[in-house]
Amino acid sequence: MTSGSFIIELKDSRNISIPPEVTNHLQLQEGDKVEVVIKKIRSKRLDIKISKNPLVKLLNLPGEPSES
Amino acid sequence: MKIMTCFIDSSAWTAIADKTDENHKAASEYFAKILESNSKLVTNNTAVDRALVQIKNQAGHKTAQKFMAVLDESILTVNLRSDWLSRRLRRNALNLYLKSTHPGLRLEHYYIFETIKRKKVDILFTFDKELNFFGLPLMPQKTSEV
Repeated sequence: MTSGSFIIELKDSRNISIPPEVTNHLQLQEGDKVEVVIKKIRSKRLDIKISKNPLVKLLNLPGEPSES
Repeated sequence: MKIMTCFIDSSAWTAIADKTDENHKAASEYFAKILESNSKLVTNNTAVDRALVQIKNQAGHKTAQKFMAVLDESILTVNLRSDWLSRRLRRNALNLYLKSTHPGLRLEHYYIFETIKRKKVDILFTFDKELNFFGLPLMPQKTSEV
């Protein structure tokens, strides 16, 4: 594997941290040259991408006695 | 590998959401299984409406509200596809229903049949044995039938 991609939220506008999973996977070390491509993602799309499947919540719906 | 398309009917939605439903355990276990798999989940507006009424009657209005909120969110995030029955599809279902002499099939079954055709459904997640008529496997399979 020679490339990897990840989605992060910027904490400031000029710095990006590479997640350790990516550096480990690509065996990156200080001094290595890497290519960086930046693509802005609209926040709504990002929310959808990283959110868990909401249907899982149906497995833990609160029960309550019948009101009839 | 083909992705299976699974239709979830009102009996399955009710059994998942209502802890007092006799099929709750089987429904929850099977639902957890299909969520883990890559299956495409489909329902339709009539199945959801019917389930909502049953859940509100059986489990109370708070459970019904929560159920509907989860379904709305799931449809918005495309984790669940809801087929909307238009005037034309309703007419198709009505025609089939009026022609049918099958004593067990109700109008709602023909609404489901319209979605089965449109969405190319492979399996039905249901506890309604009448849906056997449409020739698709009904899940989850019970080990003992009453």
